[in-house]
Amino acid sequence: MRRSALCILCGLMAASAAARQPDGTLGAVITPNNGVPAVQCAGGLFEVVIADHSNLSIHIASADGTRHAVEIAGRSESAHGRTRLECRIPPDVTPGTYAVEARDDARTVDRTARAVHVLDAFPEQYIVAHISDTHIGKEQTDRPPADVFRDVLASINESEPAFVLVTGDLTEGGAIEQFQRFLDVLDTCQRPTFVCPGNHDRLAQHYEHFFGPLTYTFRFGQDGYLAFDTKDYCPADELGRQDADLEIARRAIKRARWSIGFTHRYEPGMGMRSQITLFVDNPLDYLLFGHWHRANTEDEKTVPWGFTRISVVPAAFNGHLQLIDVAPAGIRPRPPEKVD
Amino acid sequence: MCGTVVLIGAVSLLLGGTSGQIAYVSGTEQEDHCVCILDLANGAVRRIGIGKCDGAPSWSPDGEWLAFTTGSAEGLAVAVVRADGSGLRIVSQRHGWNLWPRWSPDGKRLAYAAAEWDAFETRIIVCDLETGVESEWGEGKTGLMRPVWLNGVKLLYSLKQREEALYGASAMNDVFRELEQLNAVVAVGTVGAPGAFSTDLFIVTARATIPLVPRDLNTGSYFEWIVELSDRGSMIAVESNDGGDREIFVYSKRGMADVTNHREADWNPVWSPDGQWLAFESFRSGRRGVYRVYPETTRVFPVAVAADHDNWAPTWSPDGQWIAFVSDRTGDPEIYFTDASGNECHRVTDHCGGDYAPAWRPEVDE
Repeated sequence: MRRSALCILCGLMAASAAARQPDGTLGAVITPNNGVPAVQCAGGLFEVVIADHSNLSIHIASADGTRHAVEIAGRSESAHGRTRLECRIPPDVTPGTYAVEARDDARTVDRTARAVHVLDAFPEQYIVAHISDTHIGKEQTDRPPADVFRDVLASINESEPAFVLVTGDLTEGGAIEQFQRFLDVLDTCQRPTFVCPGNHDRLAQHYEHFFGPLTYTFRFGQDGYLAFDTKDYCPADELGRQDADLEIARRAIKRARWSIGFTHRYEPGMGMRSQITLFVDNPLDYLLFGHWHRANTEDEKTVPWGFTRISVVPAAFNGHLQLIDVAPAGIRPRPPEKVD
Repeated sequence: MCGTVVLIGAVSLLLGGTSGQIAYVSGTEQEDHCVCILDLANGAVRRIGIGKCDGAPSWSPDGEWLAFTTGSAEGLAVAVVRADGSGLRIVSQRHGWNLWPRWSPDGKRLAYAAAEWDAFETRIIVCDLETGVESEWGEGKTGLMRPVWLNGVKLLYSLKQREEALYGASAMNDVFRELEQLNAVVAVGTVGAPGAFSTDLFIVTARATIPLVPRDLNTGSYFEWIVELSDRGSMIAVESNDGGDREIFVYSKRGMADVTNHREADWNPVWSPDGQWLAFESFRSGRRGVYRVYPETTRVFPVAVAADHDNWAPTWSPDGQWIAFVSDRTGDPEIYFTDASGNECHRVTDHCGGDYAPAWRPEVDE
């Protein structure tokens, strides 16, 4: 009896071990995290990026503290100092939401909640929830943006989408405290949440410390999703730092049934190299973004180069969200909804 | 390739006395990017830009001046500065956004694309640097981007003869009259309507814009981008998605040829000073790497290629023996250079932040 109680206590202690760093920034595990999670079926593979070359074991832990060690099927160390682990979700875990834990011997050195989502199977037809421009920390609004964000996520929870995309301007000024408040609310979401930065998040240099990569892809069944950063375009186009990441990310989802990009904003003046990669040579099927604080009109249905259709969601700090039906027949954004 | 890297300490010793200067952009964030010049003889770095969103520098043909874009209240301006840091001034006055400045062969004018804001309203502006007067070229054609100056007329004569043989006439007759007086630029221009835009190449003079490519090849179905003329103007390298993926094509008097044919993207062609080689970027080995191709045979050689980091933005030394480029092998983008075969690699910047867009200074007549 005492031993059982001790096990439960240990489990609870592990479950409550510091999620991220004390200031909310990422620790040993860069991805997956609750803004860039892994979504996979039991027995499937997912990637874990460790901040250094340390030799950590990886576990997933459920809310009740049950911990499962994951098999590391592959390991590579980058010249940039990071370690990529190819991990296999144990085939016998039950579907649900898990924290990812990095452990050194018997000690949990890092834990990130809502980082791994295990499914029974990927559906052919599903709903994506799209929100943008939560602007946590924005003043002079009717209600505090964090309160509205919480209500928007409550509404999304009822809609039971497969996952949620949050396309930037998560915060008003990119401050650490604003990201902390954003995370507090984000974790009320019962579905996987994928984020990307917006221009307001780039007013300070903390976004990557909270969520990691600026460009990333994930697969959801047959479909491919690509997140990218859209800060100041013109100089970026000249200097070419993001170009290769976009080309490689686009290639990673080239064979997807549907390829869907999500970013904070799109303007025709963005770097032409980026546009060639995403909308010309291998055009995405859809691009989802925010920034405009309004929906797109009938005249704004595609990027100027054709092919890629666009869908813009009005700002979440005003209570807006949009559900998108993804099915074998096509991708169909529903009209934006407003949560009162 | 580029397997052995030597961090530059005394570059002149490592290179057996080879000297020269490389202009580049350095900064931690875009807002503080500044044009700098590195002296390879002693490793000294001089900041000569404005330091506010400075863009890729471009040397004048005589190596005396640099042109670059820089942040302004309205958007981006074109600035020029002497290599010693003197004479810094903004030359673009008429439009808010000014992009891709390129020097005329005589070094007396700059061509660039300009617009107020709309990315598809860009026009070609030519600025006379002696008078400061900006002129709009192209007879009102908008959507023109990335101008490069024609260096000669040999290739145009070939294209003109081909058009006349096929159609009994050529739209280029007017161009030749202007070429003798004002020269011309080749620019990428949008064709079609919003929602179905594509691009083609155009010859742009003070009074006309005509398609460069003979009419039977000018389909408007493909998307051309970076265009570069060889030093003698006898060949044009351009990247296009003709063929299904991005490739580099070379136009010469013999016609058009895909010189980098590969299923992964190839882009950013840069001619060697003697016009015999093209350096370019390719994803054929996974990550982005620097390669060179001999267009006559289309044989491709790796220059700086790695599995776990990117190498990009090649620029040739004036003698064509070395290629400088950007590499993020240590995390931050830094400037390196290597011999053209990729065997001897040197890191030349070590800056916490990023160093980008190297441009090797042409040889200067002292």
